[in-house]
Amino acid sequence: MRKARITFFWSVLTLLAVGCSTQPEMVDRVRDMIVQTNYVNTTNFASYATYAMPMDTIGHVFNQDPNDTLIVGDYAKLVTATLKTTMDQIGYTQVAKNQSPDLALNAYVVEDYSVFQSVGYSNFYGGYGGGYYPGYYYPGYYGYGGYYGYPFYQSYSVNTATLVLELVDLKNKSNNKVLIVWNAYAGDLLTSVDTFGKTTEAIQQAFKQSPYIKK
Amino acid sequence: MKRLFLLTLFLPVAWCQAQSDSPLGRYIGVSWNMNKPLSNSAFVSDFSTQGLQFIYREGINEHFSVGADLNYAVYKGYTPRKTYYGDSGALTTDYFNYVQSFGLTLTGDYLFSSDKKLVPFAGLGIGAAFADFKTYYNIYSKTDSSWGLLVRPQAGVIYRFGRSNNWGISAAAYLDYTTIKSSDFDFNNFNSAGIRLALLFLNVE
Repeated sequence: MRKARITFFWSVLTLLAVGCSTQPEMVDRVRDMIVQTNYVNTTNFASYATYAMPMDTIGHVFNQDPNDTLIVGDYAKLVTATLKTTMDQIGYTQVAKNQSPDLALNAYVVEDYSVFQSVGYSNFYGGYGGGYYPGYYYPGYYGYGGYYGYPFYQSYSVNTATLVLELVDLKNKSNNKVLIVWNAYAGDLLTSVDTFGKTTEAIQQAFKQSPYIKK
Repeated sequence: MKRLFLLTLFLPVAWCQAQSDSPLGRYIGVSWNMNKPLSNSAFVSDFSTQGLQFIYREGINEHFSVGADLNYAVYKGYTPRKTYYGDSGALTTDYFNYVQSFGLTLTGDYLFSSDKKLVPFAGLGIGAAFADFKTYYNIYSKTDSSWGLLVRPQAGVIYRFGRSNNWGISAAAYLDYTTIKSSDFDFNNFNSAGIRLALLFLNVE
């Protein structure tokens, strides 16, 4: 009898303990993508008129396969088409890269590296752990996407993928270096419940929360 | 604080050398605790039904019992998706906030009428609290933890099913005052109110 009571007793305790969930369901966490934007706050975005961006191709930074530097296909088409629509709506004009564009618009996916930095509850601290970021000069600008020794993100974050967007000032070069004046991170792409739809929303959100990008 | 935690664990045993003729005797219990945060509601505000407690008491005499309570609770909060702006950028996300709280108190109860089936009591517990804070945003998370002092006034009733039956149930209300804090989450002196429903095993030998 005593043994039965003790067994019953511990069963109740175990049931109570098991009933305590200590983290949210992943499907709830990834319902929307997190969108972070950063910019050089002295930039006059109205001073730019044109931009260049390769269509249907975006860059790829992936530590598992460093030689896999480009993404083509439906996802790349979606990203570049959404960017073009957004930039056109703002009032910028897309031109070819040999037509001296004022801005270069880069898009690439960073996989298995951490790009979100110092995100705090109810606060936005900014801060960056690696790679290129607003205020940083590219050592030289050779083209778009993928093949110019892309960023050296320092911290690994396995099984993550982040879409990175960058606006690079080609109009005001300094010693042949060019300045990143704006960037955006959107993720996570791998766990998203609707990668294509949520990517479109994330790109639109990136520009929405950057009202200084205007003509 | 960790020493206090261990002290509260062993002091009741050392203090109660022998079991008295208290009608409840030595008893243990498990309870389901429901809690409502009273502070730091920007981080966690939801009424929590995810709490449990282990109760241990030694009857000193007809009116007093002392022992220890070990409790655990999970508090949750959700901050809907919004955009936070800084000097050089912005961030849009929602947050799922969690606090896992542990407490161990040395507790003394005054029993108003221990010889009856229904035993009202009031008590005070003092001990240590530990909390683990975590906020989730998309696949990312941030965590912090803290130790603090815990003071718990409480009052309730114990119902015995019969003099020859060693089972009982208990209902009680309590307030938890702690010095738990986290600078990372702007979290200070986490306090909560709660009620508990307990199953008791009385006159344990």
